[in-house]
Amino acid sequence: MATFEQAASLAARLAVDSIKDQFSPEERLEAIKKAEEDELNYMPRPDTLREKLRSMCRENKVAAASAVVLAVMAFIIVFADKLTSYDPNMVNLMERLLPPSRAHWCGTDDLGRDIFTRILYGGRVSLLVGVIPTSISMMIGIVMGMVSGYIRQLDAVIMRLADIVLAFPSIVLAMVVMYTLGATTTNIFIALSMIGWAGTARIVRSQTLSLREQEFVEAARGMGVKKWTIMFRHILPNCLPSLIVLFTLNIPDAILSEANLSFLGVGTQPPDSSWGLMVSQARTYAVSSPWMLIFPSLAILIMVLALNFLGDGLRDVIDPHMKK
Amino acid sequence: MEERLLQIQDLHTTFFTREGNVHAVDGVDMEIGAGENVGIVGESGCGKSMTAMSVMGLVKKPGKVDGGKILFDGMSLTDMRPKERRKILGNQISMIFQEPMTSLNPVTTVGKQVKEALCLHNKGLSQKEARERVVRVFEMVGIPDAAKRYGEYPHQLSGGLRQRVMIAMAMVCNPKLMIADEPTTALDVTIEAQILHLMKQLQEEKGTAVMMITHNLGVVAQFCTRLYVMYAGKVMESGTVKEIFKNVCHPYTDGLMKSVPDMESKERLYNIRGMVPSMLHLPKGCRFCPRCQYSGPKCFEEEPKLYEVSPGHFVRCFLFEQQTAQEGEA
Repeated sequence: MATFEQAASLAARLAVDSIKDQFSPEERLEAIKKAEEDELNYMPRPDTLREKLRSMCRENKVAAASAVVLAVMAFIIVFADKLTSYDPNMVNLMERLLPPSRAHWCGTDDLGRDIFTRILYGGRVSLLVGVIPTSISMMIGIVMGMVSGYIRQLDAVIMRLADIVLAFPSIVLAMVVMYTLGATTTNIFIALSMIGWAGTARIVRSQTLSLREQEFVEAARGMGVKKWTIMFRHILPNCLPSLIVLFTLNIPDAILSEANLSFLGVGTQPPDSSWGLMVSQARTYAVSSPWMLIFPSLAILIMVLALNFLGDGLRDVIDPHMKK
Repeated sequence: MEERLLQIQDLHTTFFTREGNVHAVDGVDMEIGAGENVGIVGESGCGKSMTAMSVMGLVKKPGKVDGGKILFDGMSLTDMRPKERRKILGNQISMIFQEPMTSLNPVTTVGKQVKEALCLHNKGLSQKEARERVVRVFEMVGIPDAAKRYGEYPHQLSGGLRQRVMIAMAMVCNPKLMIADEPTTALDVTIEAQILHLMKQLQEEKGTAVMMITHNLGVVAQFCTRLYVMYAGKVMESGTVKEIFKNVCHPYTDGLMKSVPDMESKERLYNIRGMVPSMLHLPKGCRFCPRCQYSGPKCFEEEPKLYEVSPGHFVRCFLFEQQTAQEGEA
């Protein structure tokens, strides 16, 4: 070792000598001074979420555009009554099945109701149905999955429970809930939350199983960190990227499940509308009056795409490896 | 030796597997004094890491500490409730892991991780104080641009820097004992020298005792004052480094010493013949006898005890039984 250290110090001296030749002492002093000042001025501060989002918008234009699209959608849905003069539920048989025109931007349906207006009002249900039950079911799924992956004694119990939920046709389960609790929007949330958690739980469990064996988790345990802290502060952040993707994939699922429920008569009750319900009602007229099918489908498509792109962008922001 | 900080008495750690019970640590006695540097040497799978894990309480299923006592600072770690034990972990005993690449959480900045370790055992600390202290510790372990590195993620740091972060994390609460499980194995030789130098320096400044687990005798010679040589879950030889290097007694230790490559020598590198025995089917008698060039019939029948060849120097080999018998049983 001694010889090695000697060699290293010799190499260092040689390197210094070669620099000495290149710059005058004044220049070197100045450079050192400047470096010291830079260090003093440097404020250590990890990026805040706002900065991260800002950089995402700069680098990922699609994600930024998606965020704008979603904001606009939310805006027109909230202020639907200010933006359109039609009543969404007013039947006008004189004007039934009209194609898109200046008066009716998206045409009218089989009862002469303005489709554009119904999309705006239906969006209230669909947007909520997309976001709220998905969030709830994912939260349940995250807790269940993490507990089952980390606390092995509970693994079998939780996973069999998830198996039961998954083995059941989800629409039947949701229908049972809706029949027993009654067809209201709140109950749609409850029904969809109950069927959605199992998939998330499985994914989180599998990730937890691989992460818990990683050395950094062991190191945390060696530091005396508590079980729950390890789960939520060390393991959960590592699952986030896939959870975001899962979230954006679960939203259209929820919207379509709500449509199925409504189609079967236990979801949104007519005359109220939702995007899913409008699509399923338009089936009969798909050939003769395609606008009835196209416009609500387009609304769903745009929302889902925007959510997906935004999810991708967010995932990149959260992943520290993507940082430059 | 001064005050005894860590005492391991007849420790047994067993893995209950389908094929049978594996005694990974089989009756190990060990002592580490306050501020002492102790090395544990042995081949892969000889139980040196498991001894450390048992002290930390990190033995994973199907393994279990199923016998013996671990006393730390007079308190029995083995009889302690998990909650109390967590208070000691990280605070008074900390560990440096082998792989700096995977021992840090990839999605949290290194500063935050060290701060978490600090705040965990110092509840009253404000965020700002904690942060300043972490930056100071970073500076202490020789991380250049400590303030800037604070906000960086593990993948942005080199292996050497990450190991420095690990050391910072282990040092931040000023522990009394630091367990280093092959801290330099994953690093290249130039960094290894730096890290060992740093650890020695910190150890001298702070008076921390270090349990250095390694298979590198060079590291032991440079770093440690006392040495335990382990083989198949048992301590084979123990004593001060000086004494053991001067007067190698156990044939296994002798084999290890001969296996260190010599720059001058033109001969083929020595190796201990045979393989580490399967922990499921340990030979009867001395565990090392099938590979030992001095083994006699007695070695295959009976298991040797630890014999004291000179004060503080113990050897588990029948070759030294006579010598001790003359001097009187230790």
